[in-house]
Amino acid sequence: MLLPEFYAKNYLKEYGIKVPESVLDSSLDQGNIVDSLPGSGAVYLKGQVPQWKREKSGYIIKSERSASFSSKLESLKERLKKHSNCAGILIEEDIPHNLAIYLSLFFDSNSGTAVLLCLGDGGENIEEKFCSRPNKIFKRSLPLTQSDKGNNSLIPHEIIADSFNSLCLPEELKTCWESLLFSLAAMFCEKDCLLLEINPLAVKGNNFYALDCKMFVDDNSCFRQVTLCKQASVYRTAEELAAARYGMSFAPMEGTIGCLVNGAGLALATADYLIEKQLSPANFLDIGGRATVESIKKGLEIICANKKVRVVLVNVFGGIINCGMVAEAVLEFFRALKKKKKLPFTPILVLRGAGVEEARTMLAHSDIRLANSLSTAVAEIRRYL
Amino acid sequence: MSQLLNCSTRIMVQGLTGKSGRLHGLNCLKYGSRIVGGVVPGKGGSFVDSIPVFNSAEECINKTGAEATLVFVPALHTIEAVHEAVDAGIKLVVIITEGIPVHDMSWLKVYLQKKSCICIGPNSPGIATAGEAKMGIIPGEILKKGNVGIVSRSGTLTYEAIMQTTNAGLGQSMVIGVGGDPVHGMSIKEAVHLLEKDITTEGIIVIGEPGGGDEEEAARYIEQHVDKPVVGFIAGVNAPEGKRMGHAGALFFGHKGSCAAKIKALQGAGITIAENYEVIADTLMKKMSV
Repeated sequence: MLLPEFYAKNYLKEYGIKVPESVLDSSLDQGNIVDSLPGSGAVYLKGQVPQWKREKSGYIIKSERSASFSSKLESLKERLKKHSNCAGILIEEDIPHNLAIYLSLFFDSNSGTAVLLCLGDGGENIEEKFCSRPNKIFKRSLPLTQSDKGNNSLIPHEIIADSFNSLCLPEELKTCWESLLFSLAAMFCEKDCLLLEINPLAVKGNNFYALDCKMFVDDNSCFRQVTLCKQASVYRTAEELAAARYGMSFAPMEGTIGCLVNGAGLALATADYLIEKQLSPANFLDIGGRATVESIKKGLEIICANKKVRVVLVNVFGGIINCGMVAEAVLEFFRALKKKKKLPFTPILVLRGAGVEEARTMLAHSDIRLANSLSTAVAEIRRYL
Repeated sequence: MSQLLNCSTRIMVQGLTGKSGRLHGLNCLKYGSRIVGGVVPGKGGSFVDSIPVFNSAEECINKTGAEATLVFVPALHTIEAVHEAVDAGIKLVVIITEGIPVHDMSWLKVYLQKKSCICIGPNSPGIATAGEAKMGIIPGEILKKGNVGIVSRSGTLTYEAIMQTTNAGLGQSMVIGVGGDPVHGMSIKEAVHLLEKDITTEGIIVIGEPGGGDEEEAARYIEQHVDKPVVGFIAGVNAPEGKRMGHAGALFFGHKGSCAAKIKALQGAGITIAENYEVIADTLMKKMSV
């Protein structure tokens, strides 16, 4: 889960890493709060919306504190209103600087360890720079572990020295670099980060300033990172949160075919299949390995609340969950809709694996269609569109 | 593939008395796996059907000679349980549990490597040597002894590939679900290495997902070391980039980890990519008959 920038920066500050002075308008309705920001220099207005890719979002505006400020603020607010999961506007002092470094800690799936990555030439277009000058990147595995409590922020001395040298920084910054890395590593471990990225990291005088921060926390750590989970939830839609409460993962897509699938891989492959056949999925929904009749009904409810949905496709391969249970949930859900005379969708089921026969018997006297493969289901779907 | 798992491998089940542990532990036994005991602290002395339950891994190993452990212990206690089993001498660990924090798994992975212990998972459907034994939740009914080796990061797509190869009459030699979490034990590359060496395996299916660099690493290995026909499938070509879809990984650096990069790497290594998931076995059949 991705944490809004202002929360991430509050944590950096807690760990002793310098960040620009800022104020936050979390509801987009606080008038001109820039006056409460110390100083009189230029400021950055930063719309707090989930930003997955490292590219210009158009939601970051630089402004002098002059007459034009209010109109810039208002126009940004206007544009942010279309984002249901906008977490507000962060107004930050500008930190003039000469050097912008890229610095991150992340998990590398190949080695299974944390990795330190830095590049002297950070800032904009960083992904292009990764591709175009790989030999300038400093990358090293770190023996960081959560379980080594008390020891976890120890970065081997040679890695500190080597990373520092790779950046060609003035010698007097070395102690500062060392404590920056220690702080970052401690935060990375203690906050269960999968990615902790500062870009740009500005050099001003003898200090480093984190001008932006991308903090991605492990969903699996929610049980011990309760506060972080809550803070990250502002970036999630009501549907995603409702699904998560039932152990499911949901993501909206643009199309008209509501999809309910078990397993992330099969759910992704189902969406790919539909798109390849010029059909358009309305969502991604993985019901997970602990699905129940209740959770599947909740999933169908989330799918059917989407006005664009015209047909519902259920694709389940029984293994840890049983197809009979899936059929039961689908039957109950659509029977209830029928009673209320609200049945704008026709469900089409593709069920295989454990419990298929049970499901077939249950569905025999219903008008719910059971297909034995996705290709036959696609033919059915076309008839309803 | 008898070197990893066969019908004489002595297996213990950690978390045998839980809902999943009991159901799938007994299913494994029914399939032919040699399940010798269960480990559940506080439940020692009891039985699950005919399987004796012990309080600790050490006791179970001493009494039953267990060499491998199948882990259903809930995420909060998985690391502890595996740690205990490995210290007591277990050499093969298969972790079905999902939801283990990545930082904890990273620590465990380093520890397991130090102890030269093979680990599959977490968040894995398990492994199976078709016709002999299985460890995990792969439905036994769809397995058929044959000549296709399957390596997959996705659980349900593993079943899909098994069913297709069974229906096509090919069957499976060995199935390895490496697991969908960002940090996992055996990599796709290591699994492919086992299948390349295995004499019963004549064709290999590799199923990947977005995120990480497992597929790319495997592609480099296959290009240099694998002579058997290999078919690949990558789910999630149309997934919004960066968004974490279920357990499918999300962190991309540049183009690394994207489906396009994986497909390009696999194709570059001479691997045929199945057009969609319903034709994985067909694609391999065609390739094997050439």
